Amino acid sequence: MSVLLECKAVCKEYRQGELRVLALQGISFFLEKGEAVCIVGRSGSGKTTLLNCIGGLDRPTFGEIILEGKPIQNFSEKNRLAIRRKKFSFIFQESHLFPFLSILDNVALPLVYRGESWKSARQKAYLLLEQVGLSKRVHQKARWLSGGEAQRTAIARALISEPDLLLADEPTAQLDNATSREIIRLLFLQKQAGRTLLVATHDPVVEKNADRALHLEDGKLLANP
Amino acid sequence: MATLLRVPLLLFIPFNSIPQKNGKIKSLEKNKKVWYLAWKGSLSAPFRAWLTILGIAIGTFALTAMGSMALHFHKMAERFEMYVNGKLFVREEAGFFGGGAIPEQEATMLKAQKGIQEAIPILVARLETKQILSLGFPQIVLGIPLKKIPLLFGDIPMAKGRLPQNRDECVLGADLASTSKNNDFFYLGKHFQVSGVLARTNGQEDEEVLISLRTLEDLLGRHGLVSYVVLFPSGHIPLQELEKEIKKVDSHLQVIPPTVLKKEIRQNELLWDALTVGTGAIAVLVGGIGILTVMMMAVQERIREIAVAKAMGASSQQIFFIFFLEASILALAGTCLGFVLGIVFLKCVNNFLSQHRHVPFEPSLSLMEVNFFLALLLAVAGGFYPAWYGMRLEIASALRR
Repeated sequence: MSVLLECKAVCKEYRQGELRVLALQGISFFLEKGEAVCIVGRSGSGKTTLLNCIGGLDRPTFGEIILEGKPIQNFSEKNRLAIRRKKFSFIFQESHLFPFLSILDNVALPLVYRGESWKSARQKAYLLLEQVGLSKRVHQKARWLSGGEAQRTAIARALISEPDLLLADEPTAQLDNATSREIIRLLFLQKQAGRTLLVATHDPVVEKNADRALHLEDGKLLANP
Repeated sequence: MATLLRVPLLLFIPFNSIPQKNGKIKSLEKNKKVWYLAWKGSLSAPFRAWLTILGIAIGTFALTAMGSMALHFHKMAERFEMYVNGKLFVREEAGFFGGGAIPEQEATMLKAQKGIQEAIPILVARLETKQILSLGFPQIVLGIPLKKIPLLFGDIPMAKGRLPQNRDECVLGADLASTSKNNDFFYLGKHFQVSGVLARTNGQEDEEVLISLRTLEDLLGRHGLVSYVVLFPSGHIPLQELEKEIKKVDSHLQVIPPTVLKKEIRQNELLWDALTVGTGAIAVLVGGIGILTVMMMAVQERIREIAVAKAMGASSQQIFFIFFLEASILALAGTCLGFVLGIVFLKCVNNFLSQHRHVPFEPSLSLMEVNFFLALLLAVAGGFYPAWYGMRLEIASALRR
């Protein structure tokens, strides 16, 4: 397998008033294509910050993030947008669906942002909603979904742009056990489809399903198997 | 109509095409597809959206009413200018208690002066002698030598009939036509046959009754004195010279040239325009602040949505477009509602008042352009900053909130 992404000594420093917070301290690891890796750590350990830096939502203060051989950390906003559109997709802890849109439109959105027509985007969205078991509720407004349904919709939304790397930030944190299992199953199905998965979690079931786990503590990587 | 359609399209021009440094036009067609999001977003908080729309509608309503009154006044001014054009008005100099009467024979003397082609003596009396206060133009009776009436009123078309030809006939202005039954008209106990009705001018003529000068003198018991004289100068003799000629007849005569009357009218027109623009400015200010508040609240409430949208691949420009368009939708909906309500209300008021007397409004579709311009201003005033704020949001920090 070839390397999809590599982090080299990634550091992230925040300023909270007078206080300097080192959220990430020299994180180095790599991800191979088709691999499922989880980042494990307590709250505040830097999992979300690391995912944000990798996904181009935030810039590291130091270090390199190399995607398919190209360092992306200093990319212009335009190039970072292009990467977000073509390479990465995000699943957040909360589903962050647009409550005033239907489930179908929520899933179709990433394609519309990329310039596809609503009609074509909705057709693709429908197929994905079928896969996550929500095809009978496509016209329902997102505000009326349960936590599990919302997260399944968020997974469909992340998959619609056919990303190389799926970044998930504690996708099961706010769900009950049964719903969590369903979400984990759906997520790891993507590995079988050849996608690379990077999941921040403290759910042991996720860790068990992953190929390997990266342990973060106070912004430092403890283990790199 | 083409202009009307172009104005709202201005909202979209910056997003449809952007000229590049290399001279090419960058097409941003894909931004058009997110207008649906703006539409849905503007309805995401319906109660708040309707309150904003209502606020803007009230402002636009006021603007439409003021604009209609201004248009009406402009029409009146136009008619008045037509009437005074090429004429000089001569009256007795005004004293502390107002102007006095002119001896009628002075009109004949004035006609004999150099540079004066025609001099028409006119006697004015109130139609309702007990009337103290009236809205709009006063209702008056004009006594004019019968042969001279066509000279003064010949340019006004007749809605029906003809100008009076004998001392028992009269002509009514458009607003007074309804006061006559079976072509009978009574004034100070005398019966007149209505020979015709003047077409509506939206001016003083609508409130006038034209009768023979001799008849009015008889009715008032006042012979040999008139209210003013209308002069028709011949050729291009300077006003100062004409004034000298007039003063030769009577040194107390005051000449009012059309330029002075037009100047007064223009000043009044300016006042009306200022009132209309002022109302519009207040509407923009209030509506703009309303939209700004609502849109800032929307941006703050949907800050995570914006971050997620960016994470999903929305460009900053698309975010700007969505929020700016949301503000535009509110502005456009408010102005359209206010305009339609305004036009309907003013038409109703006009219909009601026309049964009684003067019609004070001129509701016109031409005001729609002003309203669309207002909508554009509101959208820019209230939508730009929130849209810009949303566009500039850092994804990671917005997600942490």
